[in-house]
This record gives sequence, C-alpha cells and structure tokens, in this order.
Amino acid sequence: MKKALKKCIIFLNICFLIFITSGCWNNHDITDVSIAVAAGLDKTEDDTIELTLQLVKPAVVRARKYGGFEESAVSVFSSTGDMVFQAVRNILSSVNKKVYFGHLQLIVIGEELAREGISDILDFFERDHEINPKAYVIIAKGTTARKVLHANSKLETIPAIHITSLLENDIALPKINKKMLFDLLRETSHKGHDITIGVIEIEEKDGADKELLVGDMKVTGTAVFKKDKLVGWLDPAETRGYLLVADKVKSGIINIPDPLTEEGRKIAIEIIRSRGKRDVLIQDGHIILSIEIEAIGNIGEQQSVKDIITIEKGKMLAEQLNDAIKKNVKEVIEISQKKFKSDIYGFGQIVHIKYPDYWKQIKDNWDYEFSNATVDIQVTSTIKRPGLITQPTRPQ
Amino acid sequence: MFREIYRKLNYLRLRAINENKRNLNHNNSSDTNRPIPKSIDKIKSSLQNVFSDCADVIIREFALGESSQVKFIIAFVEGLVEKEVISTHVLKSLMTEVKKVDLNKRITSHGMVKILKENLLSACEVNETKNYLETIHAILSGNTVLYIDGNDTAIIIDTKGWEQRGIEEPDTESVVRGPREGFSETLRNNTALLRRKIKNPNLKFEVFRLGEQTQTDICICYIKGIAREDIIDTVKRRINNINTDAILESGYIEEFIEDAPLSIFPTVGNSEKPDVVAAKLLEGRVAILCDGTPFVLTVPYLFMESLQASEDYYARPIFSSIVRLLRLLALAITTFLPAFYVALVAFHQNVIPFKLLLTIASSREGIPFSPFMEALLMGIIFELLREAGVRMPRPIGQAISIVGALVLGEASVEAGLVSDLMVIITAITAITSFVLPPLGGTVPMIRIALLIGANVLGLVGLGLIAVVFIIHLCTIRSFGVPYMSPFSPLSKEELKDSVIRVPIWEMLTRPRLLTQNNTMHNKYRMKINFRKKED
Amino acid sequence: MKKIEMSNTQLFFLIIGFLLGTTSVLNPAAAAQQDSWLAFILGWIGGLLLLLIYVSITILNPGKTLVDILLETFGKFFGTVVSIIYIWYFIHLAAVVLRFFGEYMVTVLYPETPVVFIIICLMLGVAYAVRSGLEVTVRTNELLMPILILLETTLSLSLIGMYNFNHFLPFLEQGFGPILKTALTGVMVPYGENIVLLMVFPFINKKEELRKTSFLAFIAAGVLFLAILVRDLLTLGPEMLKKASFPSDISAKLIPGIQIDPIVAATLVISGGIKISICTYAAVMAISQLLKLDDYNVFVLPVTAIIVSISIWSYDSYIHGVQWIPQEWTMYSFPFQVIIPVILLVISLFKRYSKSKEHFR
Repeated sequence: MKKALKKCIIFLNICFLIFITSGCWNNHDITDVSIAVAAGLDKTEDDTIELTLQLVKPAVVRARKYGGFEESAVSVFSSTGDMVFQAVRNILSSVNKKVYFGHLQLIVIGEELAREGISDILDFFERDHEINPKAYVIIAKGTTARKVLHANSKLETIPAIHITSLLENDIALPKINKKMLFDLLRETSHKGHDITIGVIEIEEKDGADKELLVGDMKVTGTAVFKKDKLVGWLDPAETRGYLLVADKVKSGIINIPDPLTEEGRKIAIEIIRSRGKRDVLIQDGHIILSIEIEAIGNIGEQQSVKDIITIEKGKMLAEQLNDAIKKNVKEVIEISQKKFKSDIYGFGQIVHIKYPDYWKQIKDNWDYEFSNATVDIQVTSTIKRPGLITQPTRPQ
Repeated sequence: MFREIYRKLNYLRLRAINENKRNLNHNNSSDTNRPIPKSIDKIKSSLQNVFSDCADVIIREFALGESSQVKFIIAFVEGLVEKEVISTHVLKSLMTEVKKVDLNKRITSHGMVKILKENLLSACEVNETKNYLETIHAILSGNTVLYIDGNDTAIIIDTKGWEQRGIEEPDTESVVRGPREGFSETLRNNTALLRRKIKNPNLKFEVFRLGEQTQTDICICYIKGIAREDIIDTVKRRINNINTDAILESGYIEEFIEDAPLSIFPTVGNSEKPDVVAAKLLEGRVAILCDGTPFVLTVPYLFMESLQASEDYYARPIFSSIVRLLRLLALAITTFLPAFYVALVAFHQNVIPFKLLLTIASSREGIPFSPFMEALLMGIIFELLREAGVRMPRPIGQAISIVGALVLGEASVEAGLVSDLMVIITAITAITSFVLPPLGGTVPMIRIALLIGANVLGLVGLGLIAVVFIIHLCTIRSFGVPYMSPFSPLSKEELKDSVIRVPIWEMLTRPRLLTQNNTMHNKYRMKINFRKKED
Repeated sequence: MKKIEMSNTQLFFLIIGFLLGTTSVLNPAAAAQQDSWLAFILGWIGGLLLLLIYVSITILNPGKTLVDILLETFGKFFGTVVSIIYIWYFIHLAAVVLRFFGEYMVTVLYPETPVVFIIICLMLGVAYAVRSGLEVTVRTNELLMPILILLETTLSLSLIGMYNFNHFLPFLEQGFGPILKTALTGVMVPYGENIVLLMVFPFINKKEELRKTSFLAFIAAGVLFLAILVRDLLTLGPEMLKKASFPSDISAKLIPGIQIDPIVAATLVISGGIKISICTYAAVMAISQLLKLDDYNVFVLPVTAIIVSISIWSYDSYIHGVQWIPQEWTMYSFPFQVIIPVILLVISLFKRYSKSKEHFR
C-alpha cells in the first residue's frame, strides 16, 4: 500500500512538473503567430532582398463572412535583408507576432530578382521545415512582387487566394503555367532541364490612381529561365504551345479556320485530352528532337454555316487542328532554341537517360547542341463529338 | 471519473481492513459447529438471547400429540416469509393432520423428524440440520425453522417470500431489439432467469456465503465442459480468499477479485441482463451473482467486450459490423479529439486545412486561455455536469443539463472565455463517450493524459502517451486471459467477432482462450458447419 | 526467468518492426541515386545471408540466447568478455537509433525543442515497454505494426500521381562502384543489426518454424522497404533523394489535397521506439543472464540512463552523424554482425558434426 501511495505521489509530481513546463518550446498557440499566405521577393536598389508578406487577419475574415465589413482581411508588410532568412526575421521589427509559413500558398518573385538568379532564394524554401512544398511560385512580369501583393481583391477575402485560384484555372485555360514549389525544385535538380515559371502581370488600367486589384492582373504567360536566370517571356499563345509539348494541357480551346467557307470564319475545338511526347534521336552524330502530340477534341463552337459533320470534312477539320497545333508548337520551339537557347522541355534529360555516354561528351555545351538540333513535330488529332447539334445554327 | 478514483482508494482501504480482520478471525472459528440443544426451554432461551431486541423475529411455541406432550418452536422473521405458507403448510398441517399420525413421545428423535418431513409438513422444500448457527442463518434468510423438544435436529422449511421488485427492463442497458427482462435483487430469481435461458444440466450454480456481518449469498455460475477449469478454480480461490465484513453489492466482490485493481481499465465485467450473461456463459465465461443486486459480474473480461453490445447479435451482421466500427470510431474520437485539437492548434498548424485554420484562429482571438487549459476546463466542467445530472432526481437532472449545455456554453462563448470550436469539440467528445458506457469512467482519464502529452510534445507526445496506454493494455490479464485478445495475441478465428461481426453461422469455434478446446467436441460450436468445412 | 511466449505472427511483426526502425525515415540506399533500388536489393540479399547465419546459430543451439551460446562456445572468461562487448554494442545501437530519431523530430517537427528532452521522453516510453517484459513489448508491437505498415502502404499509394518513372534512368550511370559501396552499408545498417534478435529468437513457441517465419518476415520487410524506397526515388528524383536529410518527410508533405506530414512523422517515431526497445531489452537481458539473475527489471532504468547519455554524447551535430553512420559505424559493427557470428556458426556446426559422429560410432 505504501508503495502504491509512493507511486501516486511521484505521478502527481510529474504531472505538476509537466504543467509548469508546458507552453515551452514549440508550443505556439495559433493566436500567437501571424499566418503568412503569400511571400513576395524583390531585389532592391542597394542589392538586398526585399521580402513582402501578406499576413491574414482572421478576425476580419470572419467578420467579412457576415458581410458589410470593408476592412482588408490581410495586411502587407515588407522588410529587407541580405538573405531571405534575414529578411524573414527582420520583418519582426514591424510585425507583432512570429510569422508562420506553414500555410504559405503563393511565392511571388519580382522580375528583377528573377533576372539575377533564383537559386539563392530557393534554398531557403527547400531547407525550412515549415514551408509547404505545394505552394505556387509565380513571377511578377514588369513589376515588383511587392506591388502584386499590395493588390486587393473584390472576389476573395484574401487576395493571395484569388491569385492561387486563378492559377488553378489552368485545367480549363492552357495559357496558365501553374508551378508548384516542389515541382520547381525537382526540375531545378534535374540535369538538362531548364525551368519555366508562370507569370503575373498588371494590365493597363483606366484611372490613374485607382486602387490596384487582383482582377486587373492576369496570370497567363510564362517566364523562361536559363539555369536559374530569367531570360525572357512566352506570351499566352506560346505558353499554350509550350504546355502542349510539356504534356501539361488538360483542357483548352483551339480556334481553327473553317476549311470550307469564306475567310475569317472559325471553328473552336475544345481539346479534351492531349498527350505530348518528347524524344531525342541521334542520327550520324546529329541530334533530332522529336515531338509527338496527340490531341482529342470536340467541336465547341462554329461560326460558319456549312455542314461539317461528314467523315471527310471531319478529317479536314482534324488536319486543320494538326496544322494549328503544329504551327503553335513550332513557333515556341523556335523561340526557345534560337532566342533563349534554353531547354525548357527537358530534352537534355532525355539524352541523359537515353544516351548517358553521349551526354557526358556534350553536356557542357548542350545549349549549343540544343539550339542547333533539328526538330521533328508530329501531331495527330481526332475530333470526337459534335456536341448537342449536328448542324450549325444558321438563319433559314 | 471521480467515482473511479474513489473506487481505487476504497480498494486500498478495504484491503487494509481485510488484513486486520483475517488476524481476528483465527480465534472465533471454533464455535461454527455448535449443536442444537435438546431441551426446548434451552432452545427458547437461547433464541431469545440471540434475537433479543429483534422485533421482527417471531418465536412461536406450540405443542402437539394426544396430551400435548411434544413441544415445538417455530421461528421466522416477519416480512421475509410468506405467512400464508406458514399457516397453511406448517401450522395447519401440523395441528390438524397430526391426528392421522400416531405421535407420541416414544418415537425416536430420528423417527420424529422422518414423520414430520414425510407425512406432516406440506411445504415444498424441507431440510434438516443439526447445526445451531445454520438454523439462525436460515431464520435470517427468510426460512422458518422448526425446533422439536428433545431432539437435536431442527427442520428448515423454505418459506421465503418478501416484497420485491418485479422483473423490469434495466435502465443501464436498454435495447431496441432483444429481451427486455433484467435481473432483480433476489439471487434465486436471477438464477432462475439464467436457467430459463440455458436449459442444460451442465449449467452449474455454486453458492458461497460471504461477509462476516451481512452473510450475503454469492453464486458462481458456469457451464461445465465449456468454461476452462483453471479459470473456474481461480474464481473460486479468489472468492474464498475474500474476508470482509460486508458484501452489499457485486462491486465489493469485483474489487477483491480483479486482476489489475489499480489500473484504470476494468478487468471484471458486469451486466443486468440475463441474455447478456447467458451469452457470456456460453462463451466460456464465469458469472458471479450476488444477492441483493441486479448486477452480475462476468469474468474474464476483455477490452473488446466494452465495444460489444447484446444487440449486435440480434441485428443483422452487416449492420452490427457497421455499428461496431462506429463504436470504435467513437472510442477514438472521445479519447483523442481534444488532445488532437490541442496538438494541431499549438504545434502543427499546417495540418489544419487553410479555411478551417482561419475559422479557428478567428474564434480563438481574444481567448485568455491556452488551448490546453481551455480543453481541460471544458472537460472538467463537463464531468461535473454529468456527475450532477446523474445524482439529481430526473427532472432536476434535465434542468442541470439544459443549464450546463446551453446556457453555460453559449454564455462562455459570448463572454469570450472559451472559443466556440472548443465547445463543439467538448460536445462531440461528450456525445461519443455516451456510446461506450462500460468505459465511462476510464475514458476521461485517458483523455486528460493524452491532453497533457499533446500539450508537451504535440502529436509525438500524444502518440507517446497513446503507446504507453497500449503497452499497459497489453500488460493486463483478466483471469489469465490477455486483456487485448483477440488483437494481441492475434487470433484469426476470434477476430470474426471483434471490430466486425460475421454471420453467426460463420463463427465456427468458441473463443480459444476462454474455453476448453482439447477435444473436437469442445472446440466447435457449430456442428453442421464444422462438418461442411471438413468435407 | 519469466516464461515468455511468442507466436509466429508476433515474431513476424517483430522482425519487420525491428528492421523498419530507421528505414522508415532514412533511405539506406539514397547515395546510389537512381540505382538505389539495385543497391537496396543487393544489400537485402546480403542481409538474407546474414539472417541465415543468425537463424542457423539459434537452430544449432536450441533454446539458447546469444549470451548462453557465447559462454558455451568461448568458455567462461572469453565468453564473458565477448558478451560484455555485445552488451556494449546493443546499448550503442539503441543510443544511435535514439539520437537519430531525436534529430529527426527536431529537424522535422520541433526545431526549438532541445533534443535531450525529446530523447528522454521517447526513452521513458521505451523503458516502460521493456520493464513490462518482452511478451508485452512483442504484443504491443503486434498491435502497432499493422498500423505502420498500412500507413507506409497508403503513403506509397497516395503518391502514385507524383511518380515519374524516368527517375530510374539512366541505369548504372556511375558504374557498379557506388552501388556496391551503398549495398555494403545497406547490409550493415538495417539487416546486420538483426544480430540483436538472437536474444529473442529462443523464445518462439514453435521452434521448428523459426526459419520459415523469419525468412517470410525478412521478405515482407524487403518488399515494404522497396515500396518506401521506390516511392521516395520516384517522387523526389535521384538528386533530391540524395540531398534530402529525411526523404520520407518530403514525400509525406507532397500527399495531394491534405497536409499530414506531422501525423506521418509522429507515427514513424513509433517504429524507432520499437527498435530501441528491442535493443534495450537485449542489453538488459544479456546483463541479467551474464550475472545469472532471474529478473532483469533492476537493470532497466540504469541501462536506459546510459543509453540516453551515450546518445547525447555520441556526436555533436547531425552533420557529424550524417557522415559517421555510413562510414565508421559500418566498419565498427562489422565484427559484431559478421565475424563473431561466423565463428559461432563454424564452431556450432563443428560441434554438431562431432556429436553426430559420436552418435554413429
């Protein structure tokens, strides 16, 4: 009995100690941290890194749910430092609570910083245990990340969420290059693969001193990198071509001219499935980049008034679609080969996998080899269904 | 929860008392075999001496025979006997039928008893004894004792009959489908209820008498040939070792015989329903019935049993399997939810989905307590409310629950003392804890231990405490059977009746660890299916 | 000594649990990059050979633990010395694994918490398990292992969308050299540690099925590890796999839709606990057998304290540890895992041979 009592006392003591020590170390209550939803990185004039954070104000989010509350649900803070981590800590001079990065949804990188190289800043995001590797990365084209993050939103309470949901529209709009932090890191680690990142840019707006909104920005287009430095841009149409080759198109619309009728009339094909296959062949020491694209589409809209639902005309349509895709892809490849000399499709990786010995010889001047390689593009497309009607809508 | 702690402390106290008692008892064990005095006057004075100031004991003297030469005394306790039986089957038959029998003093004492038993007393159950103390006990248990002048044998006539509660549906284990009868406070009725379920001579009832002062009848009940002999022996040995003043409820016995008295997990089961006990007997368990309480103990008791209910076997198998899984889920929720919440909110905010995180963060804004303190306070308040509700008369109990649940919860959220999410979590925890009545006392303690773990080391602390509990569960045995069986040690055949319940015709064997299974006959409970399987 | 009963299923899960200990978080073959699966399989085959040696030793000396066998084979003095060295090895192994999991948690979950605190918390749980006896440890393991296996399988399956099969290629880019080197480390680090199980093997109920059960468990563990390794390789790619401190943590972070990496990490810690408790048990048991005592409970707390202190002192920083494990630790454990067992096997075989010869004469 005495033994049991002794045990009880020891147990109670331990409980007491735990009560005293509790709340130490990593125990940070949710109200003691400020949740960062978006981080922006810029290069300042004096060559330091400027970090801009969008921090959520939960109380406002809740109040806005019930309507009628116009205060912004986020507050934006900036700080500078020689490195990212230093800037993260420096921000505590103006933010009252420790910043929590576990729910970071978006990382915006300013154009200037991207041109100087992003591998310096990516290390922090790969090393820190709090960072969510599923966050999206985006480049602010022609502007600074700070400006992008200062924009407000009319559709979402949190502007950063508005941007991420715009990026998630890529399943329907293949002009958006959505890139997760982890995918970016993985591509960076691959040999013979240059990276691309999606773009956000501010459109021209009417009033001069109107408040900047996320709705005034668009996320189509692509930033092309060589190693870790930004070298140029692909416009939205080129982005589609790039995504077709990179096998990242889920669904999208391609307009083709009507093969039968007068000029200017078009037919919209809705791509419902597409597959892009890249391969490298070496013939007589000459590199041939072969691209095969398979696209399956439905007729989505028709401007012309002639019947096109016959077997031969269907084939013609498919031909037209082939040509359209081919043209698009050819254009993009040309740009990347000649203008940027950047292997954003990972052909180098294919050479590395397929011809490891050959890769060892050429890996140092792969850029040259890539930009001078012959390109062979094959497109096979099928038109599957006409939709609810088999004849176009026309006045009788 | 407090009841549980109280029970443990009580155990310690009783054990200490018991040790003292055992020393005292060595002295007075000699006069248990006192013979009955031959002379009727001596008997009378002795009885009057024993039952002095016992107003409820009636001692009636009368004489029979041609010249009233044979004197008798009957003694009984008023209220414990059926007076109707005494007057018609004892007094009337003795006084009127006696004329048909030649009754005189010359008849030997043995002959007298024989005549009385065989010819005169028309009551059902008549026994003879020479032990004086036994007659006293018989009187106190509601029998009528007939003492005969010049004879050292007394006759015990069963005239038990007192006001008692009828067979009602027990409140603790109400069912939608299944028998509604429950045990009552009378031992004999309870054994009868069991006998009615299992009409088999192998169903054995062995009676013990426990408690120095109370002399309570205890009955252990098992099915010979199914229950393991060593378990029966252990039960008997442990019951024989009980040496205490009073057994008022089967809970007293439970404390004396359980394997892990200081553990928070119960190792002895109880039930108020004959069908439940019968099913357990058929699985090879031993039941302990105690006079004066409707709660029947069953041993060995395994952890799995707290997730089972009698209705599982009356409903269709798929449905009952789902219900069992639900109960398992309820167990997980009621033990883990507050701790999990604390771990997530204080340590691992990234696990919480973003939108939920915003909700939690906004509801916690301005709350003065840490999530841990909040959870602890709400838990304690809930336990208080429950305890208050149980003890109060029903209408007041309802009022308390309304005040507690609605007013207090609402007001404390309004006042900014607790976050509304914590109120929801406490409510869910409370509801799920009602799904598992057998673990009602255990669960809050696990919950608080896990809470502390979660507050110190987040999910890892939570996991660590949970593993410690699992280790503890694996340590416990109930009457030699591992508590966590059939999960660990794993037993394929018994898993059929664990978190899921397969159709009854698929449960081929009896529980391996609970039953004798040395022969084929014992092993299988389903003869036809067994043969099918062998073909 | 208390009678211990251990069924085949329990031994099966025990071996998987023991091997899963470090492999669940650390990829043993990551250094071989895209060929790590090959290095892993080679290491696994080597491990199988070692297991064959260990099981044969137990079968040739029925009912005897490692200490008994050592005392019998090497005589009283040398046997005691070798046994003490083995006790040291068990304690050291437990300490290394403990430190490893402490570092894992500090890196992945609790960067502000001192590693000592985490180590002590973990070790308290282990001490409780060991104090409760081998049977309880084994049964707890039996309850927990299915959960862990289920977790690993679910993790591997839920990441299928992220798999990129190009990560297997190019095959044999760096030649066989690094693969063999990694494979050798692989033999030593999870599989050779099976020597600890020689303290447990004698307690199995059905002695005749020891060989079958242990090989089955070994194969199952191999398949499970291959699933883990291939998952990490295919999701992360060879380069990221090589540089990641804890590949499984990154994999867990990538599960689409939800973020459950702390839950995964907390569960994986349990597998470490299982390994540490078996090592601790072996050490404590060996000490009590050496001193011919019936009850080993007295030694549990001291040994626990020793393990905690060694694990804290074993290296200053994880950077040191990362380098130390594949290089020095492998060399260090070679005699314990290979040389002495081979000697034991040879002597046991010789004894058996001479005995049967006598028998025939």
